[in-house]
Amino acid sequence: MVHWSAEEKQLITSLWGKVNVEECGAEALARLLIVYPWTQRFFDNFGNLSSPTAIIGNPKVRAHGKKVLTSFGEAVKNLDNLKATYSKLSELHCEKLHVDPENFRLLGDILIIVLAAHFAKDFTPACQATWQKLVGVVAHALAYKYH
Amino acid sequence: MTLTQAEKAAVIAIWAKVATQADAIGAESLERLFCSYPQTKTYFPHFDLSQGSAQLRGHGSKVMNAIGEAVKHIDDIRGALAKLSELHAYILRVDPVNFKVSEHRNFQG
Repeated sequence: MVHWSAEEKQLITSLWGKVNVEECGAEALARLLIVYPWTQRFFDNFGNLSSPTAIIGNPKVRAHGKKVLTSFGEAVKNLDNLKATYSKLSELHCEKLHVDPENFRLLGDILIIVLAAHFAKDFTPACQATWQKLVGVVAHALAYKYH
Repeated sequence: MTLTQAEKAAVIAIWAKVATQADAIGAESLERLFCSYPQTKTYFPHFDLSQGSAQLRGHGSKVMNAIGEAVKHIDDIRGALAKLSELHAYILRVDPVNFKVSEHRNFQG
């Protein structure tokens, strides 16, 4: 089980409190699809993904980005229980969605970049280190039920 | 990163022996891949992955043939695999992490 210090928990929850989940989620997913274009393989039914502009403006991308980041919020609320929190989602991504868990790591790194861009100096090195740990642990929990 | 002349000679010599059992080795390699790294199965939801399945054998042969081509063009492996690289990047869209020979994942928790 992951151990979080009081300081780490504080860094996570205080930053999360300031995150606009809809905007950050949309941006994170758009960046994933733009920077790592093979990730578009899961979204053939999303319509126009032909350019960065198209991707950023795509309403399905925005909606799905919001969905994904909202789910990330569950991690923030359940830091001491991540494997259980993501158990069903892990099975879903393996059995139905067939998503390579590497995508969770890619998205985690993208999220760090989005947070850094939004919060600038407030996203201190200590803050980043804690969030790097968090995205890593979330990716691990989401991959946990793969078989 | 390039192979030395000695390394190329070693590869060619070993491959000559491997080629005689290419199909069996190919199928077993895939079987071991899916066993040790179950996340790689996400790229084959349309396959029967049970041991000895025709699809596994067929795909194993395909992979071994491609490696054989690379060995045949050992002085220009990049050129020999260029088309396959494009296929995996743009059509199959396989995450390149899956091409790494060794994986060192630093998991926490």
